[in-house]
Amino acid sequence: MNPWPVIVANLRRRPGSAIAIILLIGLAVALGVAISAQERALRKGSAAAADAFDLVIGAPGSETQLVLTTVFLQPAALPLIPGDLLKTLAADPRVAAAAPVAFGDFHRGMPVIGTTVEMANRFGSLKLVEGRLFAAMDEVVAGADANVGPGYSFHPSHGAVGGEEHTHDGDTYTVVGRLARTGTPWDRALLVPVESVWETHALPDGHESDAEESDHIGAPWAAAALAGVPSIVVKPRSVADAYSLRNQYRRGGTMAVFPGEVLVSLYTLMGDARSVLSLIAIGTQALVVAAILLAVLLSIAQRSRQIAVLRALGASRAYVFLMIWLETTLLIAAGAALGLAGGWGGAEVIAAIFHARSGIALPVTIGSDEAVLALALLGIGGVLALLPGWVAYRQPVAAALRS
Amino acid sequence: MPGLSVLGNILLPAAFGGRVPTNLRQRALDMIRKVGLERPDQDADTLSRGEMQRAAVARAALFSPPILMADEPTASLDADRAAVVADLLFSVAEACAATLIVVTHAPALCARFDTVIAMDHGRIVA
Repeated sequence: MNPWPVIVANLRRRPGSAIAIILLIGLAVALGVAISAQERALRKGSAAAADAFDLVIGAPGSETQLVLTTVFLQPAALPLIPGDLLKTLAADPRVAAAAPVAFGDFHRGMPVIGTTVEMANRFGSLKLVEGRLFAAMDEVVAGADANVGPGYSFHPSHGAVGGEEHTHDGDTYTVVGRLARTGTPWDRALLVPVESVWETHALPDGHESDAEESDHIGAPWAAAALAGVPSIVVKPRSVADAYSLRNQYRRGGTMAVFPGEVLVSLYTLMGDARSVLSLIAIGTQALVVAAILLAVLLSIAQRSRQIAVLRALGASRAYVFLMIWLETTLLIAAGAALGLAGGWGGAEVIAAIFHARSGIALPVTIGSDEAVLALALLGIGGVLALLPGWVAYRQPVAAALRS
Repeated sequence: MPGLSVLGNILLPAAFGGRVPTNLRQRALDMIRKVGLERPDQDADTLSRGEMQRAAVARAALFSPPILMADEPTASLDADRAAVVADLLFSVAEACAATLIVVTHAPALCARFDTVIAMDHGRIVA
Protein backbone atom coordinates (compact mmCIF):
# COMPACT_ATOMS: atom_id res chain seq x y z
CA MET A 1 0.00 0.00 0.00
CA ASN A 2 1.30 3.39 -0.97
CA PRO A 3 -0.88 6.29 0.15
CA TRP A 4 1.60 8.94 -0.98
CA PRO A 5 0.07 9.74 -4.39
CA VAL A 6 -3.27 10.62 -2.80
CA ILE A 7 -1.67 12.50 0.11
CA VAL A 8 0.44 14.57 -2.28
CA ALA A 9 -2.62 15.24 -4.46
CA ASN A 10 -4.58 16.37 -1.40
CA LEU A 11 -1.85 18.68 -0.19
CA ARG A 12 -1.45 20.14 -3.66
CA ARG A 13 -5.15 20.76 -3.94
CA ARG A 14 -5.45 22.45 -0.55
CA PRO A 15 -2.09 24.07 0.16
CA GLY A 16 -3.73 26.90 2.13
CA SER A 17 -5.22 24.78 4.87
CA ALA A 18 -2.09 22.61 5.08
CA ILE A 19 0.07 25.72 5.52
CA ALA A 20 -2.34 27.14 8.10
CA ILE A 21 -2.20 23.92 10.14
CA ILE A 22 1.60 23.78 9.95
CA LEU A 23 1.88 27.44 10.99
CA LEU A 24 -0.53 27.04 13.91
CA ILE A 25 1.29 24.02 15.27
CA GLY A 26 4.61 25.68 14.53
CA LEU A 27 3.70 28.75 16.57
CA ALA A 28 2.44 26.70 19.51
CA VAL A 29 5.60 24.58 19.57
CA ALA A 30 7.82 27.63 19.06
CA LEU A 31 6.30 29.25 22.14
CA GLY A 32 7.18 26.28 24.34
CA VAL A 33 10.63 25.83 22.80
CA ALA A 34 11.50 29.52 23.12
CA ILE A 35 10.51 29.64 26.79
CA SER A 36 12.52 26.54 27.58
CA ALA A 37 15.61 27.54 25.56
CA GLN A 38 15.50 31.13 26.78
CA GLU A 39 15.38 30.18 30.42
CA ARG A 40 18.36 27.89 30.06
CA ALA A 41 20.25 30.59 28.15
CA LEU A 42 19.50 33.04 30.95
CA ARG A 43 20.93 30.64 33.53
CA LYS A 44 24.04 29.93 31.49
CA GLY A 45 24.57 33.55 30.52
CA SER A 46 24.21 34.91 34.04
CA ALA A 47 26.34 32.12 35.49
CA ALA A 48 29.07 32.88 32.94
CA ALA A 49 28.84 36.57 33.80
CA ALA A 50 29.45 35.74 37.46
CA ASP A 51 32.42 33.48 36.69
CA ALA A 52 35.14 35.95 37.58
CA PHE A 53 33.43 36.93 40.82
CA ASP A 54 34.32 34.21 43.29
CA LEU A 55 33.52 36.08 46.46
CA VAL A 56 32.00 39.52 46.87
CA ILE A 57 32.18 41.47 50.12
CA GLY A 58 29.86 44.38 50.81
CA ALA A 59 28.01 46.07 53.62
CA PRO A 60 25.18 44.09 55.26
CA GLY A 61 21.98 44.33 53.26
CA SER A 62 20.47 42.53 50.33
CA GLU A 63 22.76 39.79 49.02
CA THR A 64 20.87 39.82 45.72
CA GLN A 65 21.36 43.56 45.30
CA LEU A 66 25.07 43.29 46.05
CA VAL A 67 25.46 40.64 43.34
CA LEU A 68 23.23 42.41 40.82
CA THR A 69 25.14 45.64 41.29
CA THR A 70 28.66 44.21 41.39
CA VAL A 71 28.34 41.48 38.74
CA PHE A 72 25.61 42.90 36.51
CA LEU A 73 26.30 46.60 37.20
CA GLN A 74 22.67 47.26 37.97
CA PRO A 75 22.63 50.82 39.35
CA ALA A 76 21.85 50.99 43.06
CA ALA A 77 23.13 53.00 46.00
CA LEU A 78 24.94 50.41 48.07
CA PRO A 79 26.05 51.18 51.63
CA LEU A 80 29.82 51.43 51.94
CA ILE A 81 32.27 49.23 53.81
CA PRO A 82 35.44 50.65 55.33
CA GLY A 83 38.17 50.93 52.74
CA ASP A 84 40.90 49.68 55.05
CA LEU A 85 39.42 46.21 54.49
CA LEU A 86 41.20 46.33 51.14
CA LYS A 87 44.55 46.53 52.84
CA THR A 88 43.63 43.79 55.30
CA LEU A 89 42.53 41.52 52.48
CA ALA A 90 45.63 42.27 50.41
CA ALA A 91 47.73 41.04 53.32
CA ASP A 92 45.60 37.94 53.92
CA PRO A 93 47.39 34.73 52.80
CA ARG A 94 44.08 33.19 51.74
CA VAL A 95 43.51 35.95 49.21
CA ALA A 96 45.02 35.76 45.73
CA ALA A 97 43.64 39.14 44.77
CA ALA A 98 41.13 41.65 46.07
CA ALA A 99 39.80 44.60 44.12
CA PRO A 100 37.37 47.38 44.98
CA VAL A 101 34.44 48.11 42.71
CA ALA A 102 33.11 51.65 43.08
CA PHE A 103 30.08 52.92 41.18
CA GLY A 104 28.14 56.06 40.73
CA ASP A 105 29.31 57.86 37.65
CA PHE A 106 27.97 57.59 34.15
CA HIS A 107 29.06 58.85 30.79
CA ARG A 108 26.53 58.75 27.94
CA GLY A 109 24.69 55.93 29.63
CA MET A 110 27.84 53.87 30.18
CA PRO A 111 28.71 53.23 33.81
CA VAL A 112 32.08 54.52 34.96
CA ILE A 113 33.46 51.92 37.34
CA GLY A 114 36.33 52.62 39.69
CA THR A 115 38.49 49.58 40.30
CA THR A 116 42.05 48.33 39.99
CA VAL A 117 44.08 47.07 37.06
CA GLU A 118 43.79 43.53 38.45
CA MET A 119 39.99 43.60 38.29
CA ALA A 120 39.94 45.39 34.94
CA ASN A 121 41.69 42.47 33.26
CA ARG A 122 39.85 39.93 35.38
CA PHE A 123 42.91 38.96 37.41
CA GLY A 124 44.88 38.37 34.23
CA SER A 125 42.32 36.31 32.32
CA LEU A 126 41.01 39.06 30.05
CA LYS A 127 43.03 40.33 27.10
CA LEU A 128 43.09 43.78 25.59
CA VAL A 129 42.06 44.18 21.98
CA GLU A 130 43.38 47.73 21.72
CA GLY A 131 45.75 49.99 23.63
CA ARG A 132 46.66 49.28 27.24
CA LEU A 133 45.19 49.22 30.75
CA PHE A 134 44.91 52.43 32.73
CA ALA A 135 48.14 53.49 34.45
CA ALA A 136 47.27 56.93 35.76
CA MET A 137 44.42 58.73 37.53
CA ASP A 138 42.94 60.20 34.38
CA GLU A 139 43.10 57.09 32.19
CA VAL A 140 40.26 54.79 31.20
CA VAL A 141 40.08 51.32 29.75
CA ALA A 142 36.82 50.71 27.92
CA GLY A 143 34.76 47.53 27.75
CA ALA A 144 34.38 45.77 24.40
CA ASP A 145 30.94 47.24 23.72
CA ALA A 146 31.51 50.76 25.05
CA ASN A 147 31.11 53.00 22.04
CA VAL A 148 34.22 55.04 22.65
CA GLY A 149 37.70 54.17 21.49
CA PRO A 150 41.24 55.00 22.58
CA GLY A 151 41.97 58.70 22.45
CA TYR A 152 38.43 59.72 23.46
CA SER A 153 38.22 62.20 26.36
CA PHE A 154 35.26 63.04 28.59
CA HIS A 155 34.04 64.42 31.92
CA PRO A 156 31.95 61.88 33.80
CA SER A 157 28.58 62.94 35.18
CA HIS A 158 27.00 61.76 38.39
CA GLY A 159 23.58 60.11 38.48
CA ALA A 160 21.57 57.30 37.08
CA VAL A 161 21.14 56.23 33.47
CA GLY A 162 18.67 58.54 31.78
CA GLY A 163 18.23 60.46 35.04
CA GLU A 164 19.25 63.96 35.90
CA GLU A 165 22.96 64.29 35.53
CA HIS A 166 25.43 66.86 36.61
CA THR A 167 28.89 67.00 35.23
CA HIS A 168 31.91 66.87 37.48
CA ASP A 169 34.07 69.69 36.32
CA GLY A 170 37.77 69.51 36.57
CA ASP A 171 38.63 65.90 35.82
CA THR A 172 38.96 64.74 32.28
CA TYR A 173 39.33 61.07 31.49
CA THR A 174 41.05 59.74 28.38
CA VAL A 175 40.42 56.26 27.02
CA VAL A 176 43.70 54.39 26.59
CA GLY A 177 42.56 50.88 25.74
CA ARG A 178 39.77 48.50 25.05
CA LEU A 179 39.17 45.10 26.65
CA ALA A 180 38.10 41.88 24.95
CA ARG A 181 34.49 40.85 25.12
CA THR A 182 33.26 39.06 28.25
CA GLY A 183 29.56 38.74 27.38
CA THR A 184 28.69 40.61 30.57
CA PRO A 185 27.43 44.10 31.41
CA TRP A 186 31.08 44.97 32.10
CA ASP A 187 31.52 45.11 28.31
CA ARG A 188 29.73 48.46 28.32
CA ALA A 189 31.55 49.91 31.29
CA LEU A 190 34.33 52.47 31.36
CA LEU A 191 36.88 51.29 33.90
CA VAL A 192 38.93 53.89 35.75
CA PRO A 193 41.31 53.74 38.72
CA VAL A 194 39.26 53.62 41.92
CA GLU A 195 41.42 56.44 43.29
CA SER A 196 40.04 58.82 40.69
CA VAL A 197 36.45 58.01 41.70
CA TRP A 198 37.34 58.80 45.31
CA GLU A 199 39.07 61.98 44.33
CA THR A 200 36.14 63.10 42.18
CA HIS A 201 33.97 62.83 45.25
CA ALA A 202 36.52 64.64 47.42
CA LEU A 203 37.43 61.54 49.37
CA PRO A 204 40.91 60.44 50.36
CA ASP A 205 42.48 58.53 47.51
CA GLY A 206 43.91 55.63 49.42
CA HIS A 207 47.51 56.78 49.44
CA GLU A 208 49.64 58.97 51.73
CA SER A 209 49.06 62.50 50.61
CA ASP A 210 52.74 63.42 50.87
CA ALA A 211 53.67 60.75 48.29
CA GLU A 212 53.59 61.70 44.60
CA GLU A 213 49.86 61.30 44.78
CA SER A 214 48.51 61.58 41.29
CA ASP A 215 50.97 59.15 39.73
CA HIS A 216 50.53 56.10 41.92
CA ILE A 217 47.46 53.92 41.57
CA GLY A 218 46.46 50.53 43.01
CA ALA A 219 48.08 48.62 45.88
CA PRO A 220 49.85 49.07 48.18
CA TRP A 221 47.25 51.14 49.95
CA ALA A 222 47.62 53.35 53.00
CA ALA A 223 45.03 52.07 55.46
CA ALA A 224 44.38 55.41 57.05
CA ALA A 225 43.68 57.08 53.72
CA LEU A 226 41.29 54.53 52.24
CA ALA A 227 37.78 55.76 51.57
CA GLY A 228 34.76 53.49 51.84
CA VAL A 229 33.85 51.22 48.91
CA PRO A 230 30.49 49.64 48.08
CA SER A 231 31.91 46.30 47.08
CA ILE A 232 35.13 44.29 47.07
CA VAL A 233 35.70 41.37 44.70
CA VAL A 234 37.95 38.71 46.21
CA LYS A 235 39.76 35.94 44.43
CA PRO A 236 40.58 33.30 47.05
CA ARG A 237 43.54 30.99 46.66
CA SER A 238 41.48 27.81 47.13
CA VAL A 239 37.96 26.60 47.69
CA ALA A 240 38.67 26.11 51.38
CA ASP A 241 39.99 29.67 51.57
CA ALA A 242 36.84 30.88 49.87
CA TYR A 243 34.63 29.32 52.53
CA SER A 244 36.76 30.47 55.43
CA LEU A 245 36.87 34.01 54.03
CA ARG A 246 33.14 34.01 53.56
CA ASN A 247 32.58 32.85 57.13
CA GLN A 248 34.91 35.46 58.50
CA TYR A 249 33.46 38.39 56.56
CA ARG A 250 29.87 37.46 57.19
CA ARG A 251 30.27 38.99 60.65
CA GLY A 252 31.39 42.31 62.04
CA GLY A 253 29.78 44.85 59.78
CA THR A 254 30.36 43.16 56.43
CA MET A 255 28.56 40.62 54.27
CA ALA A 256 30.32 38.07 52.06
CA VAL A 257 28.52 36.18 49.32
CA PHE A 258 29.31 33.71 46.57
CA PRO A 259 27.53 35.21 43.55
CA GLY A 260 26.98 31.68 42.20
CA GLU A 261 25.03 30.81 45.30
CA VAL A 262 22.88 33.93 45.11
CA LEU A 263 22.17 33.19 41.45
CA VAL A 264 21.04 29.66 42.31
CA SER A 265 18.36 31.08 44.59
CA LEU A 266 17.34 33.44 41.78
CA TYR A 267 17.18 30.48 39.40
CA THR A 268 14.80 28.71 41.76
CA LEU A 269 12.52 31.70 41.48
CA MET A 270 13.02 31.79 37.72
CA GLY A 271 12.32 28.06 37.54
CA ASP A 272 8.94 28.62 39.16
CA ALA A 273 8.12 31.30 36.63
CA ARG A 274 9.24 28.97 33.87
CA SER A 275 6.99 26.21 35.17
CA VAL A 276 4.01 28.51 34.92
CA LEU A 277 5.00 29.67 31.43
CA SER A 278 5.64 26.09 30.33
CA LEU A 279 2.20 25.06 31.54
CA ILE A 280 0.69 27.90 29.53
CA ALA A 281 2.70 26.82 26.49
CA ILE A 282 1.63 23.18 26.89
CA GLY A 283 -1.99 24.31 27.29
CA THR A 284 -1.64 26.32 24.09
CA GLN A 285 -0.29 23.30 22.26
CA ALA A 286 -3.13 21.13 23.52
CA LEU A 287 -5.67 23.71 22.34
CA VAL A 288 -4.05 23.98 18.93
CA VAL A 289 -3.90 20.22 18.48
CA ALA A 290 -7.55 19.92 19.53
CA ALA A 291 -8.59 22.67 17.10
CA ILE A 292 -6.68 21.05 14.28
CA LEU A 293 -8.16 17.65 15.05
CA LEU A 294 -11.58 19.21 14.80
CA ALA A 295 -10.68 20.81 11.48
CA VAL A 296 -9.40 17.47 10.16
CA LEU A 297 -12.57 15.70 11.31
CA LEU A 298 -14.66 18.31 9.51
CA SER A 299 -12.55 17.92 6.40
CA ILE A 300 -13.24 14.17 6.47
CA ALA A 301 -16.93 14.98 6.06
CA GLN A 302 -15.98 17.23 3.15
CA ARG A 303 -13.84 14.50 1.67
CA SER A 304 -16.31 11.68 2.16
CA ARG A 305 -16.96 11.58 -1.58
CA GLN A 306 -13.30 11.39 -2.43
CA ILE A 307 -12.82 8.63 0.12
CA ALA A 308 -15.81 6.74 -1.31
CA VAL A 309 -14.41 7.05 -4.84
CA LEU A 310 -11.09 5.66 -3.66
CA ARG A 311 -12.89 2.76 -2.01
CA ALA A 312 -14.89 2.18 -5.23
CA LEU A 313 -11.65 2.10 -7.20
CA GLY A 314 -10.40 -0.69 -5.01
CA ALA A 315 -8.75 0.99 -2.02
CA SER A 316 -9.15 -0.98 1.19
CA ARG A 317 -10.41 0.47 4.46
CA ALA A 318 -6.87 0.16 5.76
CA TYR A 319 -5.62 2.22 2.84
CA VAL A 320 -8.05 5.04 3.59
CA PHE A 321 -7.20 4.89 7.29
CA LEU A 322 -3.47 5.00 6.61
CA MET A 323 -3.89 7.85 4.15
CA ILE A 324 -5.82 10.09 6.58
CA TRP A 325 -3.62 9.23 9.55
CA LEU A 326 -0.38 9.75 7.62
CA GLU A 327 -1.56 13.05 6.16
CA THR A 328 -2.58 14.43 9.57
CA THR A 329 0.57 13.22 11.29
CA LEU A 330 2.71 14.61 8.49
CA LEU A 331 1.23 18.07 9.00
CA ILE A 332 1.82 17.84 12.76
CA ALA A 333 5.41 16.70 12.18
CA ALA A 334 6.05 19.59 9.81
CA GLY A 335 4.55 21.97 12.37
CA ALA A 336 6.69 20.52 15.16
CA ALA A 337 9.85 20.87 13.07
CA LEU A 338 8.92 24.42 12.15
CA GLY A 339 8.21 25.14 15.81
CA LEU A 340 11.60 23.82 16.86
CA ALA A 341 13.32 26.07 14.34
CA GLY A 342 11.02 29.00 15.07
CA GLY A 343 11.48 28.64 18.81
CA TRP A 344 15.23 28.65 18.38
CA GLY A 345 15.05 31.71 16.16
CA GLY A 346 12.71 33.43 18.60
CA ALA A 347 14.97 32.69 21.54
CA GLU A 348 17.93 34.07 19.56
CA VAL A 349 16.01 37.27 18.86
CA ILE A 350 15.04 37.63 22.52
CA ALA A 351 18.65 36.93 23.50
CA ALA A 352 19.87 39.63 21.12
CA ILE A 353 17.42 42.17 22.54
CA PHE A 354 18.33 41.12 26.07
CA HIS A 355 22.03 41.49 25.29
CA ALA A 356 21.47 44.94 23.85
CA ARG A 357 19.64 46.01 27.01
CA SER A 358 21.61 44.30 29.76
CA GLY A 359 24.95 43.45 28.21
CA ILE A 360 24.59 39.83 29.30
CA ALA A 361 25.30 37.45 26.41
CA LEU A 362 22.78 34.58 26.39
CA PRO A 363 24.05 31.38 24.75
CA VAL A 364 20.85 29.99 23.19
CA THR A 365 20.93 26.27 22.45
CA ILE A 366 18.29 23.75 21.52
CA GLY A 367 18.75 20.75 23.76
CA SER A 368 17.00 17.53 24.56
CA ASP A 369 14.33 19.34 26.60
CA GLU A 370 13.09 21.17 23.52
CA ALA A 371 13.37 18.10 21.28
CA VAL A 372 11.31 16.14 23.82
CA LEU A 373 8.71 18.91 23.79
CA ALA A 374 8.36 18.75 19.99
CA LEU A 375 8.46 14.94 19.90
CA ALA A 376 5.84 14.69 22.64
CA LEU A 377 3.52 16.88 20.61
CA LEU A 378 4.19 14.74 17.55
CA GLY A 379 3.50 11.57 19.55
CA ILE A 380 0.26 12.87 21.03
CA GLY A 381 -0.80 14.29 17.67
CA GLY A 382 -0.02 10.97 15.99
CA VAL A 383 -2.20 9.11 18.50
CA LEU A 384 -5.03 11.62 18.21
CA ALA A 385 -4.84 11.46 14.39
CA LEU A 386 -6.00 7.85 14.71
CA LEU A 387 -9.43 9.32 15.36
CA PRO A 388 -10.04 10.93 11.94
CA GLY A 389 -8.41 7.86 10.40
CA TRP A 390 -10.95 5.72 12.21
CA VAL A 391 -13.84 7.93 11.05
CA ALA A 392 -12.64 7.58 7.47
CA TYR A 393 -12.19 3.85 7.99
CA ARG A 394 -15.79 3.48 9.18
CA GLN A 395 -17.37 5.60 6.48
CA PRO A 396 -19.98 3.68 4.43
CA VAL A 397 -19.05 3.78 0.75
CA ALA A 398 -22.45 3.47 -0.94
CA ALA A 399 -24.08 6.30 1.01
CA ALA A 400 -21.21 8.68 0.28
CA LEU A 401 -21.23 7.82 -3.42
CA ARG A 402 -24.96 8.47 -3.68
CA SER A 403 -24.85 11.87 -1.96
CA MET B 1 -9.12 12.03 -8.52
CA PRO B 2 -8.49 15.73 -8.83
CA GLY B 3 -5.00 16.88 -7.90
CA LEU B 4 -3.40 13.96 -9.72
CA SER B 5 -2.27 13.88 -13.34
CA VAL B 6 -3.96 11.66 -15.91
CA LEU B 7 -1.14 9.15 -15.55
CA GLY B 8 -1.31 9.38 -11.75
CA ASN B 9 -5.03 8.69 -11.86
CA ILE B 10 -4.65 5.70 -14.09
CA LEU B 11 -1.86 4.26 -11.93
CA LEU B 12 -3.74 5.03 -8.68
CA PRO B 13 -5.27 1.55 -8.15
CA ALA B 14 -1.75 0.12 -8.22
CA ALA B 15 -1.06 2.11 -5.03
CA PHE B 16 -3.82 0.27 -3.18
CA GLY B 17 -1.70 -2.83 -2.88
CA GLY B 18 -2.10 -6.34 -4.19
CA ARG B 19 -0.44 -7.80 -7.24
CA VAL B 20 0.91 -5.20 -9.66
CA PRO B 21 1.65 -6.25 -13.26
CA THR B 22 5.11 -5.54 -14.61
CA ASN B 23 5.74 -2.63 -17.00
CA LEU B 24 2.69 -0.99 -15.48
CA ARG B 25 3.81 2.51 -16.30
CA GLN B 26 4.43 1.74 -19.94
CA ARG B 27 1.06 -0.04 -20.15
CA ALA B 28 -0.62 3.00 -18.63
CA LEU B 29 1.04 5.31 -21.16
CA ASP B 30 -0.04 3.01 -24.01
CA MET B 31 -3.55 2.98 -22.62
CA ILE B 32 -3.66 6.78 -22.46
CA ARG B 33 -2.69 6.97 -26.11
CA LYS B 34 -5.19 4.27 -26.96
CA VAL B 35 -8.12 6.17 -25.41
CA GLY B 36 -7.04 9.28 -27.29
CA LEU B 37 -5.69 11.45 -24.48
CA GLU B 38 -2.67 13.53 -25.42
CA ARG B 39 -0.90 14.63 -22.25
CA PRO B 40 -0.30 12.03 -19.50
CA ASP B 41 0.93 14.78 -17.15
CA GLN B 42 -2.21 16.91 -17.50
CA ASP B 43 -4.00 17.60 -14.20
CA ALA B 44 -7.24 15.63 -13.99
CA ASP B 45 -9.01 18.82 -12.82
CA THR B 46 -8.61 20.35 -16.27
CA LEU B 47 -10.09 17.45 -18.26
CA SER B 48 -13.47 17.77 -19.99
CA ARG B 49 -16.21 15.30 -19.06
CA GLY B 50 -15.61 13.21 -22.17
CA GLU B 51 -11.89 13.12 -21.44
CA MET B 52 -12.59 12.10 -17.85
CA GLN B 53 -14.72 9.21 -19.07
CA ARG B 54 -11.92 8.12 -21.38
CA ALA B 55 -9.39 8.32 -18.56
CA ALA B 56 -11.77 6.23 -16.43
CA VAL B 57 -11.94 3.61 -19.17
CA ALA B 58 -8.16 3.52 -19.35
CA ARG B 59 -7.93 3.15 -15.55
CA ALA B 60 -10.51 0.34 -15.54
CA ALA B 61 -8.71 -1.57 -18.29
CA LEU B 62 -5.20 -1.20 -16.90
CA PHE B 63 -5.25 -4.46 -14.98
CA SER B 64 -6.83 -6.43 -17.86
CA PRO B 65 -9.89 -7.37 -15.84
CA PRO B 66 -11.97 -10.37 -16.91
CA ILE B 67 -15.15 -8.31 -16.55
CA LEU B 68 -15.44 -4.60 -17.39
CA MET B 69 -18.42 -2.87 -15.76
CA ALA B 70 -19.57 0.65 -16.63
CA ASP B 71 -22.35 2.61 -14.97
CA GLU B 72 -23.85 5.15 -17.39
CA PRO B 73 -20.56 5.62 -19.31
CA THR B 74 -22.17 7.95 -21.86
CA ALA B 75 -24.38 10.02 -19.57
CA SER B 76 -23.87 13.77 -19.85
CA LEU B 77 -22.04 13.36 -23.17
CA ASP B 78 -23.46 14.47 -26.53
CA ALA B 79 -24.23 11.86 -29.18
CA ASP B 80 -20.88 12.13 -31.01
CA ARG B 81 -18.80 11.89 -27.88
CA ALA B 82 -21.03 9.16 -26.48
CA ALA B 83 -20.30 7.13 -29.62
CA VAL B 84 -16.55 7.69 -29.17
CA VAL B 85 -16.64 6.49 -25.55
CA ALA B 86 -18.78 3.50 -26.52
CA ASP B 87 -16.35 2.56 -29.30
CA LEU B 88 -13.56 2.82 -26.79
CA LEU B 89 -15.30 0.55 -24.28
CA PHE B 90 -15.88 -2.10 -26.91
CA SER B 91 -12.36 -2.00 -28.30
CA VAL B 92 -10.78 -2.07 -24.84
CA ALA B 93 -13.00 -4.94 -23.73
CA GLU B 94 -12.04 -6.80 -26.88
CA ALA B 95 -8.35 -6.13 -26.37
CA CYS B 96 -8.52 -7.46 -22.81
CA ALA B 97 -10.85 -10.29 -23.81
CA ALA B 98 -13.17 -9.03 -21.07
CA THR B 99 -16.91 -9.35 -20.70
CA LEU B 100 -18.44 -5.86 -20.93
CA ILE B 101 -21.44 -5.08 -18.72
CA VAL B 102 -23.00 -1.62 -19.03
CA VAL B 103 -25.89 0.06 -17.24
CA THR B 104 -27.38 2.75 -19.47
CA HIS B 105 -30.45 4.72 -20.48
CA ALA B 106 -29.10 5.33 -23.98
CA PRO B 107 -30.99 3.29 -26.68
CA ALA B 108 -28.11 3.82 -29.14
CA LEU B 109 -25.70 2.11 -26.77
CA CYS B 110 -28.14 -0.73 -26.00
CA ALA B 111 -28.42 -1.50 -29.68
CA ARG B 112 -24.76 -2.52 -29.84
CA PHE B 113 -24.97 -5.31 -27.25
CA ASP B 114 -25.64 -8.99 -27.81
CA THR B 115 -27.69 -9.29 -24.63
CA VAL B 116 -29.99 -6.56 -23.29
CA ILE B 117 -31.91 -6.85 -20.02
CA ALA B 118 -34.55 -4.16 -19.54
CA MET B 119 -35.43 -3.11 -16.03
CA ASP B 120 -38.28 -1.00 -14.72
CA HIS B 121 -38.55 -0.02 -11.06
CA GLY B 122 -36.10 -2.74 -10.10
CA ARG B 123 -37.87 -5.55 -11.98
CA ILE B 124 -36.63 -7.30 -15.08
CA VAL B 125 -39.20 -6.71 -17.81
CA ALA B 126 -37.46 -8.04 -20.93
